[in-house]
Parts: sequence; C-alpha cells; structure tokens
Amino acid sequence: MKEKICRTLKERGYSEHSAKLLLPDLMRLSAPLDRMLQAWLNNEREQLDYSCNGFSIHGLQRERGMKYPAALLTMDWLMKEPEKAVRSLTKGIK
Amino acid sequence: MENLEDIERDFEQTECSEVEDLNPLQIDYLRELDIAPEAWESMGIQAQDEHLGLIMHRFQEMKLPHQFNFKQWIEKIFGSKVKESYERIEAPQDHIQIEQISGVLSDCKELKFDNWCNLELSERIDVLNAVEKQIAEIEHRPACPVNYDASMGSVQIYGDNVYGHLGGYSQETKDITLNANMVESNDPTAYLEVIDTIVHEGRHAYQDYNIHVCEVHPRHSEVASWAETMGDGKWRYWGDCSTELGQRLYEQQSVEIDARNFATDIKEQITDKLFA
Repeated sequence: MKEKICRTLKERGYSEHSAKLLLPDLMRLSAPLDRMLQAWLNNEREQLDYSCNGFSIHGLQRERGMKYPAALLTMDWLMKEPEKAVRSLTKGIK
Repeated sequence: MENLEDIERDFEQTECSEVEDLNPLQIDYLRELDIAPEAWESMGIQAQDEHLGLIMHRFQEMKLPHQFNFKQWIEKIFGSKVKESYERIEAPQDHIQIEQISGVLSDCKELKFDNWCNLELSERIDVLNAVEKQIAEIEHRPACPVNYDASMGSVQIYGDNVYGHLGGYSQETKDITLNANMVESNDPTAYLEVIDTIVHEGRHAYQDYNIHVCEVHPRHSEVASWAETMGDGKWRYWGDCSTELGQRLYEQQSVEIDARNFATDIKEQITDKLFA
C-alpha cells in the first residue's frame, strides 16, 4: 500500500519529498476517506465527494485550489479536530 | 568551503567532552576569520557587522546542536571585543521585541483607526513602509520594501477573521506584499488584519535573515526549528503549501506557528490603543 501511494503521487505530479511527507497521514485516513483515496489511486478521475462541518472535498478543490490528496487530508483534519481545522480554514493565507 | 563536508562529518564523529564543543578542524575553519583586536577596533561598525555576518555564516554551515553557546565560542576564538560586537548585533529577546514593536505601532498616529480611514491606498503603504523600517530596526535585520498587489483576489470577513490570500514575504526578492483589497478596506477587522499581516510577514523576514544571512535571534534552538521548514531541513516546505499538502501541514509549519503567535501577542497588546 505504501509503495502504491508513493508511486501514484509521484506519477500525478508530487515530488518524492512531498509524497513521503504525505504518506503517514494518507495511511491513517478516517473512513470513508480511506476508501475514496483507494478509488483515486486506482483511477485518477474517481474523485468522490464528502462533506463535513460546512466544507466539502470538491469545495476545497474548487475554491482553494487543493489537489485531491490535499483535500482528502484537509477533510480528515476537519473530522478529527473540527475546531482547529475550521478556525484555520476561515483564516487567510499569508 | 571545499572541506565543509569533512567539517560536518568530523564534528559528528568526534567524541566531545561536552555536546556543544567544537572540534579542531571547525575551530581552524573559524579562525581563518580572526582579526587582531586593534584591527577590529579600527573597523567601522558596518564593517564589523559584515564580518560578524561571515563568522555567523560559518557557524551555521556547521549545523551545530540546538544548545550551542555562540557567545562563549565567539569569545574563545575571536576574543572579547568581537563578543561585545556580537552582543550588539544580537536581537532582543522576543518579549522585548513584542513590547517595542507594540510601542511603535501604538505610537504611530497615522495607524490609529480614525486616521487610517482617511488615508489613500498609497498613503497607507507609505505608513506601512515607515512602520516596517522601525520593526526591522528592533529585529536587527534589514527592512523589506512593502508593496500591495491588486491581483491577490477578494477578501471575506468571517467574524474576527479575514479570509483570502492576505499577503506574503518573498525569500527571493526580500519584500512584503499585501493584498490591496485588504489594505484598502475601512472595515475594522480588515484593518487589524493589515497590522497583523505586516508584523507576521516581518517575522518571516526575521526568520529568513536568521537562517540564511546572520543568526541574530537569541535562541539558536528556535532558529534550528525554523530552518527545518524554511531552510533545507527535513521538512523543506514553506509558505502556502495547502494546495499540495493540505491545510494541516500548512498551519503547523514551525515558521507559521512562530509568526502567528508573534503577531497575535502584539495585536493583543495594541488593539485597544489603535481604536482609542
């Protein structure tokens, strides 16, 4: 699984360094995000949506320019630490 | 320079009596920059500072442990006069910087909310440039030009927060750019965010200066931690990495946490005074 994630991330534009940084968090995604990652790994066009705490994966991609793995990880943070994540997402980028 | 890898390797392999010891190879490398006390005293302050920058750069090349005592080793290798000069270039402790910067911001008449609302965008940028010069002086680093950018998109206000791309510090050009829409706004929340952002980006300039030019921050362990994200340390990501790595890794970068806390501490001290 680890190798598949790393290889796929690199094939889809991530550097080796970034792929290794993301790997531990992607391996620990909450359900159902883990299954969504699996679908995306098998087919890049399978970008399933999910909503939580007023944010959706597709919204994070569309409005904040996040790549699908980045949006999955952000959604995972929203599920695990909703207060911190919402606070961060409603602040500006600087 | 060509022996740098040997110096780093030798340092790792040498058994030192104390963890913060330098080995003979490293000491020789530093001694190449030694200057006789009389010559040191006859140098101007600017030349001394430049030379100290070279010395600090060599220390940084050695990737020394977090608890390394620079003052002690500068005195040991270069003598007490150079150590005294180092103490002059060393920036104040954070709590003193926070107090002094809060003073600069709350004493600036043009920055009071009522006066601010009467200024044009270009006048606001002039005020921010003047403020940045004073902040840089307190932080013992060169001042950054402050610009605005109208193409950074809109900003939205959510309660006490302003959302959008608010600004940034460039490691390449060494300047600070602020979102023109935020600077132009007369909304009190956006106004406070402008002040927060100028302090926040100035802190990034300070981190960059400490990592890449001359270590003036009094706590080496903090500079080492910043270097892990802003430098070529183990994390090697910095800035808006949220699009690639997600929001959590962006939020939890050591340089972002530090800049955010530093600006928040200042904002908390001055908010009431700015609206008085």
